[in-house]
Amino acid sequence: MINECGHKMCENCMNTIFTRPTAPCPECGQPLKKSDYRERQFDDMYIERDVNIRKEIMRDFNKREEDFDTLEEYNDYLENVEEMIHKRVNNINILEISSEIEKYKKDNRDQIYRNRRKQEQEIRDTQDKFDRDITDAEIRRDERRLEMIREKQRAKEENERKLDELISGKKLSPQQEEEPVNRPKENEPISFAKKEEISYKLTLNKHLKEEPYVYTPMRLHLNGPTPPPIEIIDTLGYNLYFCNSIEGNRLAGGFSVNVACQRVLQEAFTDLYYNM
Amino acid sequence: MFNESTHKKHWLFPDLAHIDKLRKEAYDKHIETYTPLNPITYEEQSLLIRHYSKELIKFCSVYNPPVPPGTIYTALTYFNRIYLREASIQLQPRDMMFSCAYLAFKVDEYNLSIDQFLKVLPKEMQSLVGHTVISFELTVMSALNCELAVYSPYRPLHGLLTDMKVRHSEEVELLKDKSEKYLSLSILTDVIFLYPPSQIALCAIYISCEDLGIDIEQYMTECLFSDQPDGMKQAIKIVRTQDEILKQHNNKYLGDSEWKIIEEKLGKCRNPEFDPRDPNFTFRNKQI
Repeated sequence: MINECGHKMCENCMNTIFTRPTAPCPECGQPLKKSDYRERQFDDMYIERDVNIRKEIMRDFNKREEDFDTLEEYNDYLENVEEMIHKRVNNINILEISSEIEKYKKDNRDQIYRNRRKQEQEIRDTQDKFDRDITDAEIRRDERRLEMIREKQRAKEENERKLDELISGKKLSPQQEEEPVNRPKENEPISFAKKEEISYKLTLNKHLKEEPYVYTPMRLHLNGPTPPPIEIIDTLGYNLYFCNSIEGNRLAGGFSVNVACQRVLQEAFTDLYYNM
Repeated sequence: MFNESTHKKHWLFPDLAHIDKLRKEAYDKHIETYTPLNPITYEEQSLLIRHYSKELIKFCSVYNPPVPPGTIYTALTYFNRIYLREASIQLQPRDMMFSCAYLAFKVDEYNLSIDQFLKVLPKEMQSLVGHTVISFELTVMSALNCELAVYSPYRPLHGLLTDMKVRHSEEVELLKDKSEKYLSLSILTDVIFLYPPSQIALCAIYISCEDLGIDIEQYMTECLFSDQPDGMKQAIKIVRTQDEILKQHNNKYLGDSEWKIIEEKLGKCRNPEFDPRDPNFTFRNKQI
């Protein structure tokens, strides 16, 4: 549990202290009622304090963006509020701040009240919308379930009818046979499983149409003499003039003297014919 | 690869006049938008930039372990590229020198924290330079159009020398030192905006060979330009032009007292919005 002045206390101690209606805070001695204690939300006391003070201040400083003419004014206002919260939290100029808040409350009493009403209304609206969404979803689910039951029933009836026909010995022409099977399908809504099946088929088809990847070796346009290919750089003897030998782990990483040689030679020959 | 890089696409220009025009335009643009009393002239600006190019190399050489020459080249290229698009009354060469160095160290993975970066400077300068470097980082990036890939001529130089040694069995140790020395001078000139790194390296080798009395022309005709009918002649022309640019360039460095005068003049006429010592500066930087 935590109290108004931001000090903590365990539940057991609370019970022993509050034999009378009021008791002083054990840390700072401020007299408090039991209702001044509440459940603690955050581990960090500083954050706890910040959140509470913020809640308290925002109850009064509830102006909105549309209450200001320009965005800049609104931003200034927000900054001012933050500043106040910061000062309250860190106990800077407490007296000054409280008098400022009182003054603000007096000056803007109507607006604070109005905005509070607005806020409550908004909360109510969103709550309503949320409830509505849930009931809508439920209705839809029920409909779907009913639809599925009906479908099964229809299939069953169809089967029975066919069996009856076969038993009674009537011969159907192939066209006639297919017709009754197809007809109900046109009217019935496509169920989810089917939809998925169709879209799956579509993506599969699309995928198959793509061209397979063909490797084309990179071509360097050097605009200069051609350097020797990387494979034979060491056999030509270039590596002898690169004194730095390569250690085991670098070699394992795929790095070789030839790579360094090739880079140097490429850079040496690139654009030697520039502007010629 | 250099072929597809922004270095080749956007930062190589046809001739010196073109580069000069770009610089002049950038200078005029800034002088017009921010008109100070007694502004620094275009010529003075060029001299100052030249001076600080040299300072930049000096500054980069202080670090230990030594900064690789390719990284120094990157920093130098950034520094010179900036003044193709911006002017010194806006971005002062001294500030840019540190910013470019720090950016190049980052790009080329010469890993240094800002504290380690500042350590080589005298104590009283450290906090201001640190502030400058960090707050100019984005400005520098946007002045460079975020095109940070730079191909230095040092790797091509190494490649050409190795190739010479293998295919022409030439002794290149002496040649290597000599041509690296030549390169360290030629990269201070505008050749970095005119030729691809391989040609800059070739020029360094060719001139060094001439000095040492080594015959390089045989190697060039046999190995480099064998399938290019007119190649040899063109190559020599390119080398000569580069050498000429360097010779012209060398005479125009400022003495110790001279650059201080220009620096002072610039200090008086620079745009305070871009001055890290000015209180307005932090404000502007916040807005970016």
